[in-house]
Amino acid sequence: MNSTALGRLIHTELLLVAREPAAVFTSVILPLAIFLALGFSVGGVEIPVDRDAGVVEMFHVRDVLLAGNIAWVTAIFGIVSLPQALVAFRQHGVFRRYRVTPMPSYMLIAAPLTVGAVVITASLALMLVVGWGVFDIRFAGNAALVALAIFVSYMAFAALGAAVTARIRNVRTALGLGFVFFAPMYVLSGSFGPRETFPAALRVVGDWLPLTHSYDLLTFLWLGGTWEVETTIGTPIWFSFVYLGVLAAACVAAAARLFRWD
Amino acid sequence: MRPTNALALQVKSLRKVYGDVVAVDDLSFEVERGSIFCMIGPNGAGKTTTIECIEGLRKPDAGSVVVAGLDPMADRARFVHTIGVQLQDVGIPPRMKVREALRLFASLYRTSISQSELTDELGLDGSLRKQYGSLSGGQKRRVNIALALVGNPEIAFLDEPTTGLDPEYRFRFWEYLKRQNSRGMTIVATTHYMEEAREYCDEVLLMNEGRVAASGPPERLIAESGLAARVVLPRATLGTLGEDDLAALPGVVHVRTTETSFYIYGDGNLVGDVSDFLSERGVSPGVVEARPANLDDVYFLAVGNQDPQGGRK
Repeated sequence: MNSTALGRLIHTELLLVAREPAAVFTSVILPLAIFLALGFSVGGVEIPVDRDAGVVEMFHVRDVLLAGNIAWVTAIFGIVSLPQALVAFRQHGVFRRYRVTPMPSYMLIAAPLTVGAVVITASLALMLVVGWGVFDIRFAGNAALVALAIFVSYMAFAALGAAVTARIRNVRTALGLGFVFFAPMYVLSGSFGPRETFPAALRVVGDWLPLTHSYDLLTFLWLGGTWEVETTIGTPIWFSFVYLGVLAAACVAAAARLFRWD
Repeated sequence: MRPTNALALQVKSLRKVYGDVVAVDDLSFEVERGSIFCMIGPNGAGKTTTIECIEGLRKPDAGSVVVAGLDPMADRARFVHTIGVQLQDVGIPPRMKVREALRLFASLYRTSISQSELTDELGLDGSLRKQYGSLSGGQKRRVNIALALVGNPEIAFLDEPTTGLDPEYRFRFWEYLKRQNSRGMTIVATTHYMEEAREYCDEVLLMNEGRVAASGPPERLIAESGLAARVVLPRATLGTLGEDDLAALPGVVHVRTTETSFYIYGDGNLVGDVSDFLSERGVSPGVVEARPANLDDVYFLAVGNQDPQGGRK
């Protein structure tokens, strides 16, 4: 195998994603549309944000919209689009075919993960351009920390999606299962609306959903919050980071154990 | 027993069971390096299971497989560089273009056959920009063959490579494969086409119900079967004469009866013996078809009157 094989596989799978309108729509077009719609409707509303142990500063809703959107983009790509692609490979016998070539096993997951990272980055870049150009949004955080948080969030959801669909051979089943996981998380995480308005029981359920941690981690870091700041869950930001990291590690282990070639 | 280094493939006492169905049962055979080896047999004879056990896609329940001195499971990293595989079922993403698939697969191997040579020889020049899912069955088959050969493998495993190909492409495929073989590539293929096996294969393995029914060079199999000719008589013109009457004739090895005809297999005097017998009975059979025996006849004798479309995986 020459050194360009992984690059060739990533390039080929990027082209496959670009030819899949649903993946482009849910990960790039839809978040941008929601960003624009909410930005124009409630983007100007002011919100007080606790950035550092009681240091409250005023921001606008539009300032946190982008970070919140990226949280659920990592979730929908990790839980829906990525497993859909992996299960399609299993259903069409692509994994079997690759298995009798010199392609190393790690490339089978490294390539679609990289493709996902490219799609999420594209989605983020597009929203940043629109956010700064149209809404003049404010970024008060540390770019490296936010990038790390996006990475951990993406890994957690991708590993969760891979583990849940490790033995599924039908794309429709994978798609259905993906939305069964994603839809309640989207509603209960705060992406859909303020969690403070939910009944107590739903808030408790939401507290343990990974998208809630991803949403809080990204939005608080985006606004310049320190690791010790308490999120809407009632735990410090670092807890959400650790929570997503542990989830990623556990799901990688489960996916590796459960994975079937065909 | 030949020395091991002369062997491309050695299968010993292979057994594979699915539930209560024995797909491959105590199967043993060897393939010499640089030869073209064909596995033939009815659907469900165990050909695909055997070839997938050899490729390491299925784990045998018993027995051993050695490919170019390597264990397909234990020596996986070296093994996959040695072989080229064409699976019977598809294995390419439907939206991937042919050109992309060829480039991707070529990048996986240390050496590769020129992509322009492959696309030219297999008639894929016009399909390079098309998505795999939009191709016809025959085009898909040719793409899969190209992907099996693109890494210039030491041994190519091809599972029914010519099924779905029109006669021209079947001819072009085998002629190209012969050239690759003359450059040292060992070919292991399954096929349903007896004339292909006879014309292009150095040795054939006839499988039935997971076992070896016969094996050897095609001409030797025909010679050893005791068959020299086949005569077909229409049943409607033979009156009360039946299968038992024909089977009792000297030199008749086997009679196969269908709804409309008797298929009589026998030795070198078969045509004369049948003709004399019918004359003695005053029967004029009308249209009589007679021809020298071929591998089809050996196949039918070996697998009996089994429905060729039936059977197991």
